[in-house]
Amino acid sequence: MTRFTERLQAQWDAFFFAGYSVKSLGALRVAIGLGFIFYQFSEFFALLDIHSGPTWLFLSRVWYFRALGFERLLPVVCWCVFAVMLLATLSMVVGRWTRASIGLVMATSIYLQGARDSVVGDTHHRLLIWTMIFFFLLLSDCGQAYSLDAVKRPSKAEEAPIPEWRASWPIRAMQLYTVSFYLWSAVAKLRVSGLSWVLDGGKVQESLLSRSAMWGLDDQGQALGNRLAFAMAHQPQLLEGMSALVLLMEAGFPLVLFLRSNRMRLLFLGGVAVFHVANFILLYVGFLLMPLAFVIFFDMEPVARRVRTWRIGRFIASRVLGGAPIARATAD
Amino acid sequence: MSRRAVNILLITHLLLVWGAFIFRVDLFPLTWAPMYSLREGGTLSVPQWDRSRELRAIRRDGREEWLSRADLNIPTLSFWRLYFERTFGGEPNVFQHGNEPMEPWCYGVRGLAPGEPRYRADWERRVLTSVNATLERSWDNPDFIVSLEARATFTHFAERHPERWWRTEEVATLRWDARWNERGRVHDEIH
Repeated sequence: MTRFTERLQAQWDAFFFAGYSVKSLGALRVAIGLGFIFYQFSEFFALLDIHSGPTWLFLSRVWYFRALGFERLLPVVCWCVFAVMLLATLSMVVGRWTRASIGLVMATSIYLQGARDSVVGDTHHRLLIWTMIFFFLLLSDCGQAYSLDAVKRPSKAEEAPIPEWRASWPIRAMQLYTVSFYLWSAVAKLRVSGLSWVLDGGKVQESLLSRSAMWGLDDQGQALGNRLAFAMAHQPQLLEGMSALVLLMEAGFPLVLFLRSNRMRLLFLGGVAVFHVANFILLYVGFLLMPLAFVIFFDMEPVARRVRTWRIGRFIASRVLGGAPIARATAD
Repeated sequence: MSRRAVNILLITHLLLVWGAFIFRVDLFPLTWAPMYSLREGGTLSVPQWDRSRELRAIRRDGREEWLSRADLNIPTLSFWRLYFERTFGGEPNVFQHGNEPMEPWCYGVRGLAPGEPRYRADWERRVLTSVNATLERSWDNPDFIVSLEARATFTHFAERHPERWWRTEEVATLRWDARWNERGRVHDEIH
C-alpha cells in the first residue's frame, strides 16, 4: 500500500469507525423515533383528509407503484398503513422488536409517500433524509441499548461488548448523507438556473410572489394573505442577499462535520432550523420539521443520561424497564 | 456485519447516491435534490386559490355536473394541483426539473439526443381517464365525462417588476378524444 492509500484509509477509518458508543446509537434511535412521530403527522396528515368513498386512479405513479402494480389511492389502506406506521414508530422508540419495527416504519412511510405523490404526479423530497437514517438504523445495533429488546434478551456473560466501530459507522453514514443532500441542493440550483437563481431577487422572489398572491390581491395591489412574503418580494436587493446566504448555508453545510464544539454545531444547525421555519411561514415549504433529524449530529448518550435524572426518565427506567440496566452492552 | 462488509456497503452507497446526483436521477430514494432550483423567468402567472371552485364536467349525454375534491376523494392540496396546475397544462415538478437542459453525460447515459425532453405525458387524456375511472364510468356509457372545464383568476407579474401586475380570468378545457376509447383506463408510462 502506498503512503497515500494508507493515509486515505486512516482518514476513512477515523471518520466512519470512531466517535460513538452503542449507547449513543440507542439514544439516537429513541430521539429519531420521537421526532418522526411529529414528522409523520405533518407529512401524511393529508391522507387522513379523504373519505372511504371513490378510489382515485393515480394520475402519474411513482416508479415503485408502477413496479408493484398499485393503481389507486385506497383510503382505508392508507389509514391502516398510517396506524401501523405510528405503532411501529412507537415500538422502535421503546426498542421492542427493534429491527422489524424500523423496517415497518420504512415500508409504511415509503408507501404513504408513494400514495401521496402518485395522486397528481408531484414528487416530494422530504422523506429522503429520514429514509436514509432509518436504513442505517436498520443495519445497526441500535436495538442493543435503551431498548426493551436489550432488557428482555438473556444476558450472556461471555458476549463481547459492541465495539466502537460498529456503533459509529451508521451514525457517520447518516451524517454524511444529510450534509451531501444540502450540498446537492445548492449545486442543483446553480446547475438548473445558474446565477439567475440569485440575481434580481431570483427564484426566491418568484416563490414569494407565487405563495403570497395565491390568496389574491386587493384593488390597491396588496396581497390578501401572507403580506410579509408579498412585501419581501418587492425588495430584490434584500432577496439577493438572502438567496446568496441560502446557497452559502447549503454549500457550507458539510462543514458541520468538522465542527468539534457542540455549541458551534448547535449554532449552525439552529440557523438552518430558522431557515426552514422561515421557509414554511413565507413560502409554505414543507421542510418545517426537518431539523428534528439534526439530532444525528450530536452524541445523544449524554442527553439520554440527563433525561434519566428527570422524573419521567426515572419513571420509565423503573416501571417500563423494570429497573433493569438500560444498556446491556457498551463499547466502554 | 464484518468491517469489510461495512466498507463495501459504504462505498456502494456513496457510489449510488453520488452517481444519482451526477446523472440527475430523481427516483426515490435516489435524488440530485432539485427542489426549488428552477427559476422560470418571464411573466409570472399565479392562479388565485378559490376553495369553492369545482371542475365543470360535461357528460357524453350532454348533461352538466360539478366535481369537487370530495367527489374525486383526493387530498385538498392534490385537488389544488389537479385544478390549477394539470388542468391548466402545468407539469409536475419532476417533469419540469427533468426536462431542463442537462449536462452532455446525462443525455448520453439515457440514450437521448442533446436537448431532448426526458418526460412527456398527455395530461388531457390522463386527467379525463383518472376522473372517469375514479367515478367508475366507462367510455361507452352516457354518463362518461367527455369534457372538463376549470376557471381561475390569474394574477400576472412582470419579470423583475412585481409592482407591475394585472389580472385575467382564464378557462382551461380538457376534451376527450374518441381515439383514446380503446386504451381504456390505462395511463401511458412516463417517457
